[in-house]
Formats: sequence, structure tokens, C-alpha cells
Amino acid sequence: MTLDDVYLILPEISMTVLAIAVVIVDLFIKNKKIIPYFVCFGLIVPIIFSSLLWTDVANTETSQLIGFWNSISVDFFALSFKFLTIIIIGLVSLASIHYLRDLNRNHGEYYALLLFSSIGLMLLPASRDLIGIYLALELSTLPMIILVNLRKTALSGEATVKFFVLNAISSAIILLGMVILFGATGTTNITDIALNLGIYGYSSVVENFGLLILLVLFAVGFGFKIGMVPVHMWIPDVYQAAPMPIVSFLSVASKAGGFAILLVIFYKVFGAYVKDWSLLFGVLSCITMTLGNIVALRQNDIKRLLGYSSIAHAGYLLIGVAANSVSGNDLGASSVLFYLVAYAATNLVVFFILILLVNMIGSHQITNFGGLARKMPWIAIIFTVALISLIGLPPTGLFVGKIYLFSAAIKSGLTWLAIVGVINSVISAYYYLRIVRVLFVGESQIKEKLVITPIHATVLIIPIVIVIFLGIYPSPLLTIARKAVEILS
Amino acid sequence: MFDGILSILIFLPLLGALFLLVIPKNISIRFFVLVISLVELILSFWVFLGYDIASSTRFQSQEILSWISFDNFKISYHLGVDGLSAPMVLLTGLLGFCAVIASWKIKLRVREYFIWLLILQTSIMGVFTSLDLFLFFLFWELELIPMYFLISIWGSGRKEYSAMKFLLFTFIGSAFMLVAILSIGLAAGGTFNLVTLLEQGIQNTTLLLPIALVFWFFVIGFSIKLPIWPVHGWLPDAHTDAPTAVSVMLAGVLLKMGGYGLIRIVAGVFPELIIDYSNILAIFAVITVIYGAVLTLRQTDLKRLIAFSSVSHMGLVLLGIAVSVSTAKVALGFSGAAMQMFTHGTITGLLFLSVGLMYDKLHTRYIPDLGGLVVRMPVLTISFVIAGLASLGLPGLSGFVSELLIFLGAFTSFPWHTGIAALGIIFAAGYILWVIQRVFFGPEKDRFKNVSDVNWFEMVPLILLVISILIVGIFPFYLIELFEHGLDPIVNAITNLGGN
Repeated sequence: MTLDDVYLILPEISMTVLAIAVVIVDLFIKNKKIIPYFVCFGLIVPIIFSSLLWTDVANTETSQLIGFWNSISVDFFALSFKFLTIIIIGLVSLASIHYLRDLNRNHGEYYALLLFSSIGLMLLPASRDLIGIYLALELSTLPMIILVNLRKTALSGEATVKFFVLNAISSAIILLGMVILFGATGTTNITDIALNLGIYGYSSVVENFGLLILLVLFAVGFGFKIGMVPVHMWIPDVYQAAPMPIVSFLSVASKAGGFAILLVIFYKVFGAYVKDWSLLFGVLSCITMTLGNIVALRQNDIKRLLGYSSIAHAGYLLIGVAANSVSGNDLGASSVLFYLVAYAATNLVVFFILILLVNMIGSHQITNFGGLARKMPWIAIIFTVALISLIGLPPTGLFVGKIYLFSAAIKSGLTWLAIVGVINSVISAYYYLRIVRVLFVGESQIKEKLVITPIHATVLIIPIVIVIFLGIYPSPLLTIARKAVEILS
Repeated sequence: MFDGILSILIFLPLLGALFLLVIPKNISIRFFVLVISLVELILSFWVFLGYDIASSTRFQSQEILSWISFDNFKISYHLGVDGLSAPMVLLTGLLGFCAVIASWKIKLRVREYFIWLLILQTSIMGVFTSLDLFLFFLFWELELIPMYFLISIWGSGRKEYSAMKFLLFTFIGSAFMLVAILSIGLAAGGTFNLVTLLEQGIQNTTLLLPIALVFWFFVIGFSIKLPIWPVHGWLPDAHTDAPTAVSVMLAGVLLKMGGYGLIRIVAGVFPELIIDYSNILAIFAVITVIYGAVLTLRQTDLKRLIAFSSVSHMGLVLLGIAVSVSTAKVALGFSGAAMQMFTHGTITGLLFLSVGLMYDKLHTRYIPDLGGLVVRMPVLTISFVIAGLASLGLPGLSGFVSELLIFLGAFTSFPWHTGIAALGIIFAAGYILWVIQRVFFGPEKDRFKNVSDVNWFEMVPLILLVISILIVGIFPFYLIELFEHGLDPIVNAITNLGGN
């Protein structure tokens, strides 16, 4: 290990320092309101380091910097996820001000745990070693378990236990997969594993039962993180019971991290069996989005509805994972990246609005949002744009994202999957528009007008501008996404 | 026409809508929107008249900007009009203007209403002028959002149900269309340029789906919009429950998006397939004509009656398109279909406007309640009668021209189909005359003693539409020539393939 190696993980190191600093600052100051601003200013450091790394990576011939005995790879793929995570954590921190002001305890721990979880998510796509991947995965999830139970209500207790147990099971499943991989190849390094697996000379997983088991183990294990059916059960409960800012973080950052590592493992380790797992994910994607959308139709609690909607979107994203069976077709992976960014921006808007409203209304029932358009027209408009984006209608980011996903599917010969996807979009229109209808024509339930602080207005405006910008001019992000996934092939 | 006129046409209403968001309270929203729609009308008229029919350039006033471009995806912001779309642009401008006047009495959330109406205009203009499939699809989808809100907030009756039904039906159609668009775009190497597609057709070998499947996906998508039996279910509800102005836009222009798509994309890009399948299309067309007409006969709600008559008339559009099996009469059938779209737009627009104005004053649309209105409402009666007679195809009015063209074109290739479809005209005569007699003539009812006729302002759209019906009915030649100029390449392609 040299200093060069340390340089590669400086963004993560600086985040760690920041997290510790937050705890210390929390001990000594009385005015807890400063902490989120402190976090946001602190985040500039990892941003700077990541940008420096970006220029360094751009200057190398292979577009990749490798360190720690080949276990960390810094490339455009990992760096894009670093940027995404940092931006999300910044926005979530600012949006939490409103929430924590009412809770009025655990300020320092809250932000520190969020930061630790992000460190895990930042390391995840960069790891090229099974041990590192496992550590990063746990680091990203364990702080979340604590944060889900921040309120300590009966409901959140149940959700926490569910989350914890399912997480433990999925970790065990992943570990089992890793153990089998290690036993079969004698190494924990992903590149070496792929080489050693190749020595066996199987052309398809059907020829070897162990390989088949491995695919299933990894798909299910990582599926937990992204909310894939059949390991999605924690999502509705956690979404319903956990604090809103934490849910917003879980639904975008954790999901992005899960997809990043899913892509890395399946492209890098099982790249030779692409045909097999393409089908596997195709089927899983089909089940996931259909189940998510159909169950969401019947939800009256907005948090549960968003939980199922997030399952449905995991299904759409899996289309992109599945869509790569044609060699040299990296549309699939880049469409996942694009969709993740657009989805993150959209979902953050939805959750940040809910942070405001749920507190004011004191209820999660959709019908209680009636008449929002009359009291707070701008909030209602922003909310509507975000919901339109979730349906996948223009001129929003997820419209482009969906079209990109579907075109990847069609190009890979998965037309049936694209058709299932578009039909699912139609189903989803029903329940998203039900919310819109309540906002605009529902019985007026909202009596007072909420004063929106400039900070909260800012955290609403930034993502909504991104949503619309991506819908009108997606080229820059598409180019970055293409560049980022080059490393996978 | 000057460069950029199409962009202005598309984005002027959108800018107006954005301006409405922040407009101060002391400026009249209605007048502001009226000015915008008037400018739109003038610009669309300019596009219509400025189209150079003598020129060999097919798409005129083109605007191309690279929009989304990476790797092999080349999506451009590409606009242009040809002989087919120029009249549609005019129709949109005309009915958009009428819709604003028809909305004058809206009291509920005026600002919001006009914002959605303007966005609707933007999206329809976009559909008719885009020459890039992706852009086309974007505007096609964009139109759903304002429609949903306009029906579900300002509608009547089961407005929320109807709005959702409309949205889900159209969305299913566009879902299939999206798959079809993506597969031909990818087959063409990532370009969605309609002009190239129309010139070169599709390389069957590179297509990832069976070409017939792509064809039918498009047909389904456009048929739902047109609408064709059995996917017409959304139309009666949406038309009936929408506010007057929105019914005018819906029946007048939105349905034409379906017909436009069928001619422009289905017939333009897949000439071989439309020859192969024209038999099936003709059968659906005939069923639609008869089914729509029979159901119209038994409606008691005036708006619902007009809505079902639209179904019947849109069946004729499909019949006109389906004649491509016979090479001799292709041109007649296609120009007939295009003419029918234009004339039906003005006729139904006028019918819905008249009914809307009647409803404002009488507060009922239930036919048995009405009667003898001619005494108190002569102007409204005249406009309704003119529209009705045009709708049943009276010579001298515009409906006659288009129906004659369609039947002339269809007769040689589908004599039986044409014969049966012609029954639809008889039914039309039945229901129109019956309605006119029951609603406007007969003994005057006491409860309508105090109603007044339309005022001069409300008369403006009526007069505009009556004039257009008369002009097209008496001098249809310019419009036919324009359509023929636009349809020439499609007709040639089909003739060259030599149907049987």
C-alpha cells in the first residue's frame, strides 16, 4: 500500500472524517441547526477529491486507477456513483432540518450515520474484491437499520426488525455465494475470479448446477437492496414507519448502490454467462414491476404506495440489467445509470414534499392531501411534475429514462420485456394520477398554508429542475452514462 | 412562410402558459389567451396559405436542430409541414381559437384552465409538425396531461372516471406505439428521422421484430385515438363529460391525430403491409361506421349523440385509408380520408360549440326536454342545421366532398364494404334530421320562453366554422390539391408496389 492508494479513497476518507467531526461538533454546540449546514459544507471536500480523481482517470489510458492490490478500482463508473451519493446526501441533509426540528434529539448521530452509510455506498461500485464488497454493503445498510428506528414507535420497531432480519438473511445469502465462488476459484479478487471461472470452460450455467446456484444467490442477495421481488417485503413496512428523510435516502441512494454492485458483479464475474442471467433478470424484472404496480393500485397510505412504486421502479431498472445479451451492447447498463439519476431526482422531490406535508397534515392518507392546489399551488405543481415523471410522461427525466430502457431491451431482443414495461407504465398511471386528482380536485382537507423556508424551497427546486432538464436535454448525462459503463464491458 | 414559424406556432402557447403562471391579477387572463390564440390562428393560416404547392419540395419550412445525439442515437428537433399536415395545422389553429371563445364562461380556476388549454394546443401543433418520430411521440404523450386535467377538473358528470378512461386507453395505445417506434428507430441505426424513413422505408432485415408486428402496433396505437371499434370505448365518455371547449378540441383535432398517424406513418412507412392488410382494415372500418351510426340513433344526450356520430365518421377515414388495395383509386381514398379529417374537424367542432352554447343557456342536453328552439335561438339553430346537414353529407357542404371521395375510392376495391358503409350515411341522415326536428322545431316549450340567442362574441367561432364548411363544400379544389400534393409520395409508393 502506498500513498497513491490512499489518494484513491480520499473521498471516502474525507467523508469519514466529516462523520466523526459531526459527532464531535454535536457534543459541543447548543444550536443543533448548524449541523446540517456543517455537513453540507463538509461535503465540498469529497466533491473536490472526486473531481480531482475524475480528471486523473480521464488522463489515464485505461480510464481506470487501481489500488490496494487490485481491490479498489477508481473509474468513471465508480466516480459517477460517488457524485450521485454525495449530492443525494447533501440534499437529504438539508431536507432533514425540517424533520429533526420537530424530533429534537439525536442530531449528531443522525447525520453521522447517514454519512457512514454513504461511505459504504461510495465504496461499493469501486470495490473489486469480494471482502471489500461485503464490507461496503454492510457499512451502507447497518446505519440505516438504526435510522429506521429513530422515532421508536411500535410500527417502526416492527419495520426495523423486519429490515434487520431480512438484511441478515440476504447478507448470509451473498456470503454463501461468495464462499462458493472462493471455493471454486481460490481467490477473492473479481478479475481473477472471472479468469479462473473461465478455466472450467462452461459456456452456459445450465451445464453446471453450482454456477446456476451462484447466479440465483447473487441475484437474490443484491435484490434485497434494490427491492426486487421476492425479497421486497421490507420495503412497504420500512417506507411506512421510517422517518421520511431516511426513506428518501433509502429509496434513491441505497437503490443506486445496489444496482451499481449488481452491475459490477454480473458484468465482471459472470460476464461469460450473460445470456443466462439476462433471462433471469428479465423474468425477475417482469415479476417485480408487475407486482409493485398492481399492489400499489390498492394503497391508500401514500408512504406504502411509494414503497410499492419503488418496487415497480426497481423492476423497470432491472430491464436495463437484463438488456445486454447482444455483445457490445452497453445500452442496458448506461440506461440503468441514466434512469437511476432521473429516478433519484424525481423521488427526492416527492419525498421532500411529503416531509413538509405529512408533518403539517399529520396523516399519510392520500385523501388528506385534498385541496393542496388551492392552498399551495406551487407545491402542488412541483408534486404533479414529479408524479408525471414517475409515470414516464414528457417532458421529464423518467420519460427519457424509460424510453432509453425500453430501447435497450428491444435492441437486446427482449421485446416482450419492453412490452411488459410499457403496459406497466400504463397501470402505474392510474395510481399516480389518483394522487394528482386528490391534489387538484379532491375535497379540501388542508386548512392552513405552510410557510416554506428558503432552504426547503432550494432542496425542492434543485431536483425538480434536474428532472425537467433531463427530460428536455438528456444528452450530457447520456454521454456520461455511456462513458461510465465502458469499464464494465 | 418564414423560417422558425413552426417553432413559434408550437411554443407560443407554451410561453403563454408559462406567462400565465406569473401574470398579475389585474390583466385579464381571458383576453391574454384570446390574443395568443388569435396569433396562432393567423400563423397557422399563414402556414396553410404559404405552403408552396408548385414546389417539388415535400416538407417545407423545415427546422432541424440536433437534440439528443450520442453513439448511434440521433434524435433531432425536426419540424416541417407538407400538404397533409398544413391543413391539420390550420384546423388546430382554427379550433384552438374557437375553443378559447367557447371557454369564456369558465368561472372555476380560470388561470389553471387556460394554462392547460394552451399546453394542449402546443402538444397538438407539435404532433402535426414533427418530422422526428421521437419528437412526435413526445408531443403525442404530452397531450395526455392537459387533457386529463381539463376533463377531470372542468368536466361534468362522471368526469374523473372519463378522464382516467381516456388517459388509460390512449396510454395503452401509445405504449404499443413506443415499442414500434423504438424498433424501427433502432433498425434504422438509431435515427428517428421521419423524412428518411418515408423515403427509404424500413430495411426489413435489420428489424428486431417481425415487421407485421411493428405495423400492427402502430395501427393499434392510432386506432385507439381515431377511434376504431372495438377500442373506441373511451370516446363517448370523454366527449360527453368534457367541457365544451375541450370537446371541440377532442373531436375536432385530437381524433385527427389518429388518422394523421395512420396516413403519415402506417401508410407512409409500411406501404407493402397496408396493401396486405387493407382487407382487415376495411372490415374494421365498416363495423365502426355502422356500429357508431346505430348507437348514435339511440342517444338521448346531445353531446353523446355527436360523440357517437364521430365514431361513425372516423370509421370512414379508415375506410378511405384501406382502399390502398386497389391501385387505381388509391389517391381518391387517401385524399378522401384526409379531407374527411379536416371537414369532420370543422363540422363536429361546430356541433359541439352549438350544443355547448345551448347548454349554457338551457342547462339541459337531454333531447326529449328540448323543442322549438328556433323561435328563441335562430342563429344557433342555423349553425347547428348547417353543421348537421354537412355532417350527413349534403352536397354543397364540406362533408359531401370528403364522403364522396372516400366512397368513390373505395367502391371499386370494396363494393360490398362500401355498400354497407353507405348505410351509415342513411343512418346519419336519420339521426341528424331527427335531432334537428326534435330540438329546434316542433312546439315551443314554456320553460324556454325567456332564453336568448347567442351574442355577437359567441357568434364569432360559429361564423368562422360555418364559413369554412361552406368554402370547403363549394371550392374544395385547393384543399384537395394540397392533400394530393402531400399524399403523392404515399400514393406513388403504393401504386408502384402494384396492389391487385
